[in-house]
Formats: sequence, C-alpha cells, structure tokens
Amino acid sequence: MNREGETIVCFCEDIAEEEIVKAIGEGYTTPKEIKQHLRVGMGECQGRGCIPQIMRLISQKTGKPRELILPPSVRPPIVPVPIGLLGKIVKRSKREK
Amino acid sequence: MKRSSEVVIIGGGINGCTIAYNLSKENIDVVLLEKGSLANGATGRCGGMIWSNQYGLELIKVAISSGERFAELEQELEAELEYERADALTLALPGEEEDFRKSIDLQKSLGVNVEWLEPHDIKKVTPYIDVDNISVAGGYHVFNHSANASVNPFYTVEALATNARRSGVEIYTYTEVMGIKVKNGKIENVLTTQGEIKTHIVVNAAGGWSSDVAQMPGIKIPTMPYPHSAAAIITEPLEPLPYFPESSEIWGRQTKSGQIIAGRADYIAPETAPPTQEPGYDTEASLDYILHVSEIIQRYIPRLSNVNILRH
Repeated sequence: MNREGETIVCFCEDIAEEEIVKAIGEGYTTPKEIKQHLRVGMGECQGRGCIPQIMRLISQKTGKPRELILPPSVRPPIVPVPIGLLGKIVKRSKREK
Repeated sequence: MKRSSEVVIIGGGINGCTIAYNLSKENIDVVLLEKGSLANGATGRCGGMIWSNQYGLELIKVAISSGERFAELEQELEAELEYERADALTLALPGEEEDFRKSIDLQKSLGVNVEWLEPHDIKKVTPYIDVDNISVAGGYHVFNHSANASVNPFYTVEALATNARRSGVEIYTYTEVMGIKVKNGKIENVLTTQGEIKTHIVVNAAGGWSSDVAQMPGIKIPTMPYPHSAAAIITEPLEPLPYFPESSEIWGRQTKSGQIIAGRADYIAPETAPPTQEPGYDTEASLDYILHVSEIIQRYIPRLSNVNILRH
C-alpha cells in the first residue's frame, strides 16, 4: 500500500496523493472517475475530506479551472447512520397510519 | 478524434465495453462513445451479482454462461475484478414455495448445485436470520457453482476498456451522440458533441437510453428505464457473513471489502410486484428508499441494526 514519504489524501480508503496524480496522468480526469478507479471518497466520510483536494489536484495537473470541475454526486445519509435507527422510522410511520 | 470507423458503439457500460473488447480481439476497427464516464448508468449502479436464482430458463442459462465467462475473465484481462464465487441463500415467503420448487427444478436441470431448505435448516445455516419473525416458508441455497458469483462492476468495465484500448479501440468519454445520419436505409454518420464519425455499423449499447438512441435513425424499441428498482444502499465494512439472504423483498451481497450492498427486490418478480414508479431518468437518491431497505434488513437480520449505512 502506501510507502513512507507519501501524502495520504483519502484517509478512509488509505489513498495517497501520488496515486491520485498517477491516475490523473493515466486519463482519469474527473473526481467521479478517480473515485471509481481508486475508491477515494467511498469510505466513512464519503469524500468530505478528500474530494476538494482531488478537485484541486485535477485542476493543477490538467489546467482545467477549478470551478469547472464538478464533485461526484452527494448521496444520503451524508454521515453514517445505523440501520436500526433508519428502520425504526418506517416502523413508526406504519403504526401511525 | 477519429473521423471514421468500421463500427461505432454507443454506450460505455458493461455491454458496450464487452462488445468493444470482443470486437477488438477480432481486429475490427472500433470507436466507443460514452456521454458520461464509463459505467455511468445501470452498470455503475448494479450490485455486481451473477445469479442463477432466476425464475426463467433463459435467465438461468444467461447466469450460467455469464458465470463461466467471469470465472476466466480476471486471468484473460490481467486485472483484479474482485471476482468471487458466492453461495447464495434465497428465502421463500409464504405463498412462494411453488415458484421456488419450479426454479429449483429448472436450475437442477441445467446442472446448478441447488437444494431446498426447510425453515429449521435455514436456522441452522444462518442462525442470525430471524426466520420466525419474517415467517420464512423455506428457501434454497446454491452452493459451489460458477453461476453464483460476484464481481466489481467498475473494475470489470475498466479492465475491458483498458484491454480494448490496447488492441486499438478508441474510447471517447464525455462525448454524447446527437444524431445518426441515414441515407437509403444505410447508416452514414454518427453526429457527436465532438464532431462526426463516418461509419456504416452502429451498436446500440446505451442501456437505459437505448430507446432514445434507436429513435435517432427512426427505430422504435420498447425499452424503458426504471431507475429506482435497482437502487442500493452500502454499509460500512463488517465481518464476513456466510450468507446475505435474498427474497422477493430484498437482494444483497457482501463485497470483498466486507461492505453490504443491498436493495429492494421488487424487480425480481415483476408480474407479482410491478414497478411502483413511472419510467424516467431520475437517479437522485431518496431518503425514503434508504428507510425502507433499512427496515427490511433490520427485520431479516436484527444483528445488523448497529451497522452504519454509508450511502445510497
């Protein structure tokens, strides 16, 4: 995995800046493609920490303006939520009906 | 961009990339066009399951041959696809026993290792499933057979694309097809957002958008997209479960990384449970969906109540 001297960008999936830069060089030039390729942003934090950094790296390496680089779609529940808690909501609303 | 090609494939999902890869092995000149990134549609939203648990002969046959194909694909493509053979457990809810027996007979007749389980057998195999609470009438499990496996859809598409490119296929992502020019009943040109490509052969592999693509040269096909019937939730990684159960309410699997991908199974038997939605392209995640899947998982496997859902 990561070697000494590398800069970790995605802490959840343990992906280094060097790996992201390499992927950009190979033609993965949108956050979505890099996510699918390396699993960045697919862990606990769902990319809150790493996606902005990846967008910055893409902009730096490809010269594409930062504002034209779109983040991958945001999907609920945004923060990790236990299955039991979510399941209870349905049960309760069924009872109320 | 290449201005002419023997074949133009529209769609960069599992179908388009597989066709591109196979044609490239025959040294056929191919261009593949994808309006988003690869695996942008149904491929990127699928559970990555190869399944013999089907109710029709054709579907079981497809599962078997696709299982056999995937079993050799990692080696052939020289890529990690997270391919894993997986034993499957499918639960029959009250009233479904007869359909299940039929499916078992069909699968057996095609050589699948499958056996019927009584509720007490299920309790033995999977003590964590709340068999009594969900009033399971029985079920079957498929064991040690290539027709039941799982694979990472993104890695698969990527590996197919990489291999196709190596053999000369040009793949253009973020390139949308705007029209197809026909002259005297023959295709002449494909118009894209990046310019025109001369070709006489177009392969429509646009999945959910295939009827729109077919419409361009004036062909009507009856496919319609139902985005939510295949939506899924993904949990944090957890220790391996011997089986993640399936039924007419839920489908799911545990990935190699330990995460559970699961969704509502209302597409399994469309004749008994018609899609609840109008056809369309709205793939926005809905909280309502997550709540319902959570309720089902919690009911089937109470011990997963504390497991976190990461995303839709």
